[in-house]
Amino acid sequence: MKIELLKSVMVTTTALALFAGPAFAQNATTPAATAPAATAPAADAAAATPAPEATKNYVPVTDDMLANPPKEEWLMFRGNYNNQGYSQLDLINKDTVGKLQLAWAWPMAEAGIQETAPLVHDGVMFLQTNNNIVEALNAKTGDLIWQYRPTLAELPASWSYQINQARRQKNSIALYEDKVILTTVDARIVVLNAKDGKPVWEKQVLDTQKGYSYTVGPLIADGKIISAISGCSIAGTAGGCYIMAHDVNTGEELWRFNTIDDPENPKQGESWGDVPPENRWGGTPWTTGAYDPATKTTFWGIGMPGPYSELIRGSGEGSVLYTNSTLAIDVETGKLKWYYQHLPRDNWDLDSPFERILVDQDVDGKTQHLLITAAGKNGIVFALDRDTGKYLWHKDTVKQNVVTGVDADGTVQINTDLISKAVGEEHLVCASVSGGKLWMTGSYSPLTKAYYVPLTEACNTVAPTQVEFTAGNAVGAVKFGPRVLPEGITDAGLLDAVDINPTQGDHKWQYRSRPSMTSSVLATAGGLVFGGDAARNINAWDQETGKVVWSQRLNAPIGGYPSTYEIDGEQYLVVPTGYSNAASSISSAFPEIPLPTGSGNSIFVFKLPKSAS
Amino acid sequence: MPLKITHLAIVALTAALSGGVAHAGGFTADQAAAGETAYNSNCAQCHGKQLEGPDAPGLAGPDVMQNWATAGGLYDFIHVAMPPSAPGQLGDETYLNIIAYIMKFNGAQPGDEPMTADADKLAAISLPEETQAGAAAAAPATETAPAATTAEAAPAVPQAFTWGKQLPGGPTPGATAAPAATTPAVPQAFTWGKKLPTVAAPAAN
Repeated sequence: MKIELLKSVMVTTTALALFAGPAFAQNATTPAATAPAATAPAADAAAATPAPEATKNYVPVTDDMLANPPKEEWLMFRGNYNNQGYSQLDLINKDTVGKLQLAWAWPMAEAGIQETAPLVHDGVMFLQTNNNIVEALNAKTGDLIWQYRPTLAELPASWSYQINQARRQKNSIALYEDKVILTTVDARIVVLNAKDGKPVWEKQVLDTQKGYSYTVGPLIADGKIISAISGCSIAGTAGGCYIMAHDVNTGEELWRFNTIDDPENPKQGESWGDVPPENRWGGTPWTTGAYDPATKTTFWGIGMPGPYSELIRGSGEGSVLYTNSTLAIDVETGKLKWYYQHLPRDNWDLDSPFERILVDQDVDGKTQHLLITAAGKNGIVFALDRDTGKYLWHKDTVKQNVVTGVDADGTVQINTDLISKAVGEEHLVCASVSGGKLWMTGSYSPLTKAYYVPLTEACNTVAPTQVEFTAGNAVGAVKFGPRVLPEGITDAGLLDAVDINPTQGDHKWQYRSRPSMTSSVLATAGGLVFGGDAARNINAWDQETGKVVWSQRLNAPIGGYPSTYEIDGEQYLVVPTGYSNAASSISSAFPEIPLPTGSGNSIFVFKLPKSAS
Repeated sequence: MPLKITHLAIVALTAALSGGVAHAGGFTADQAAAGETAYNSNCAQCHGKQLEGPDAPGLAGPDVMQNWATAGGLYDFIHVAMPPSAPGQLGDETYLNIIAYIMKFNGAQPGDEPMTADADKLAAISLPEETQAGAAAAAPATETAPAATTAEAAPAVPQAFTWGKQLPGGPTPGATAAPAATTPAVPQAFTWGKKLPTVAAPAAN
């Protein structure tokens, strides 16, 4: 009798917990402009309600999992340390993709431009949108488990560039043990409990009142949070742009590498001519880097110099290192192992921070360690030896008139006719400041040994201006014309499949479309590449042929990073939609396809009907 | 090299840049009024009711005006590319009205002559010159130019290595050291144009 009673009480309690609503958390501490050490939130916030039922038995993410992610999960930015954006799942394949059905959808918690990369672990989807709102959703059902909505430092309205910039390019968060680690628009690292979304600790890393913000997510490697700061083209941040490492448990800063001032390499300083560090800007590493556990090396792409024009910058013919370069950094020490510059002497804001992808290929019994990248806005694909930084080859993709060639030793030659010699002197430059290539990330498929790169055909005029910089605003000092199609080209969109091997790259196929590509792409073991465009179509291409084998029109430009996961024997495809800074850049090239004026920020999750898989 | 020069010096510098004198106008009050309506229905959703963004770049502030340089620079861009849902499809009159409103919001004063889609005339309308001159004239008496006046309260920030130096096509360096070159339209306080102590840091809000 007694036992029976106890049982029924237990059942009731469990039922209550099962149907309890989602948890809502926010950071308990008010962000300060400069807080030197990591701070734990107030005790009362930590000692709150028990974890939601859905995450009660959440399995911690281990170092082994990060090094060898289970194929059913999407554990980090591009699925793997190698940044390939490739999934080994194959239930959704060329034969079954046509049967995909909507499983569930969800509106993001915030309007505005976003570039989200949903992560999935242990049946939970972690979805970040702009302003660092993070939601945990049941990845199978779409039920909300918890939401974290931070209080962010406010900025004066006149700091319009910083306010716009800081909201952009919020790509990823990171999972480690039972934590969710995010980097915030106001330059903090915030660590949440993955079970309930409550803050565990946070740290103000750099001064957001100077212009610093995080726009890209961290990489967790070697017990460290490897992150890179943005906002380095905002006036107050002169002289310092950093890739940094913090202890993953304590937040203690372990090292930082300054991309525009490296006293250990005299060539770096010389490449800026007479310009001292306090008048240098840019060098922003605004795509999450790759990591090679075998050599404990992290690889990052670096953005353009500021001011954009050398006439205003004052750097003469200098190559302005390490802008537009790949940096290979030892994660243990923060020391630079090698660098390679993809675009010296940039005058046109053609940054080169985009995805660095690590590829191993066996050739004649020897494993070649490659780094491949469509490094910059001009869309040129490069292959390097990632152990040495040696240049192997390059291949043009979109129309570009800036790089005239690459010497055998890897020295990139530029078209000096396009360098303005006077204030107001205008040149038509291809690709445009919006790409060419932009944040939308390509994927490498080991199945086909091809790199699938989403691109835009575009040019714009560039003319230097002489301006007084103001707080919270950019130091670009150029006037850009509207993005226009290159002469003779009528399709803005290009998905370029580039065959990769250690000696050369070649076009496997090119898929062209009137609307521009607006999402990153995902390659899978099902032989498919998924990606989408400004016309709201999510497409699946055959990796071999470039033929579209599935297409679904959604509510807004396809955005962010489509990814895939498997639960209970079913493969899911998640597709983010909504505006990023890519979706609107060249809509004048396809006026017959009007863009929506609504924000539309959402995710759509597809799967196969039970019988099909 | 000064970290910051005064507002008046900017007027002098930009006046020197264009070689002209700020002429109240470039657009009419009617154009700006029509432009406000057109802006609010076509642009404000992303660029903000106060031209502050943030879902698209802000359109207020001296740096924005300097970057676009002239009404022609702004027109060349927006009449092709904006708004993304109907790029280039609003019609010349509406684009000109929107430019008039953006200029007025940034402090420029309307005049008698309407802005027209004449490339040479648009290129002769200097955005920094018109907005700074208008703001300088209006600032002591009114609060009508929020974007332009906030710059005075902003903290000093580092400048380009070439700031204040003679560049081809740029203003002569002497122009930056002549704050007295423009005479305010109305009597000013004894301390007008002089450097005064300021609080150490901006409010962090």
